[in-house]
Amino acid sequence: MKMLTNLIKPTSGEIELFGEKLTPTSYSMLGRMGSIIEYPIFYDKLTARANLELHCEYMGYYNKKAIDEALDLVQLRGIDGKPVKDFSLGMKQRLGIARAIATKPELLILDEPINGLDPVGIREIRQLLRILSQEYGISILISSHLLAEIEQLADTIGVINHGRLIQEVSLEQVRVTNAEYIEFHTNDCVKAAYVLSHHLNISNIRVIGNRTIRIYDLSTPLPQVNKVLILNDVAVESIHQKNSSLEEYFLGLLNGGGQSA
Amino acid sequence: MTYVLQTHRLSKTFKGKESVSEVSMRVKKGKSTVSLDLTERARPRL
Repeated sequence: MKMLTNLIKPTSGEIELFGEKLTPTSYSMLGRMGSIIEYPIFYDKLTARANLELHCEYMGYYNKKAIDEALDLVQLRGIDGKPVKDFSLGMKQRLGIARAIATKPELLILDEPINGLDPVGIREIRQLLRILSQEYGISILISSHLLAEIEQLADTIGVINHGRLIQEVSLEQVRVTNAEYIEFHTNDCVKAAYVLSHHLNISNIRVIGNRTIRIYDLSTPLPQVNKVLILNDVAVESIHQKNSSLEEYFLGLLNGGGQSA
Repeated sequence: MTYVLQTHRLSKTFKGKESVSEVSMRVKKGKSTVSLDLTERARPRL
């Protein structure tokens, strides 16, 4: 992360930002990104707003409205007149993000943004990052060690093992390859099993109790299974696909399942 | 521009120990990418 923000130099290799090679004097490129490396440091005795104003001054970004917008986004408007020393860890983290986005960056680089936060703080940061990505179109790179959080935040995951990238994969792809079975609930398991067998040629199933069927043959996509069941008058009360956990998937990679990317 | 950030065989050695080894990865425009390091412990926060 420090290499990407020009804080340290790589021993070898290259970094390309916005289509151009990053050099020690790429100041304009760095102005197009916001970052929190390790943890955000502030002038503790200054107010939250004063910290943001100072940052914008450093960056040569003069738009007071942008500070209000950033404070609104991280829900610190109204308490931005308080000195930062009175802020909780979660509030400081949100202020760090406000500072990183105040200058309207195209790319946000966040080093373990949820580490050390309580569950409420984690949820707030997660929601905020989702808004920044989905509604504001900001590209985000996050480093993390927390598997459970990845699922909520990532479109793409780069898995690092001892400093080496062993896989770069979209979360969607992980979900597809990680599927275990389709499970649905119905009031007529006998008829459902007949439809699966005769209309979709699916026989690798298991009936659980009176109302649940699991399909282990995943060659037919879930929407197609659902459609055929309904067209043949099988009342489907609910249907979903069960995936094995991301933890199992990634630990499998570390145990020899992944090749260097 | 499809990717806002790309690294090409990026390596970093600290005190003789390679902490980043030939990493080539990309961040797509408008997307969230997570670099997941499963071999290091998370840093404690104060």
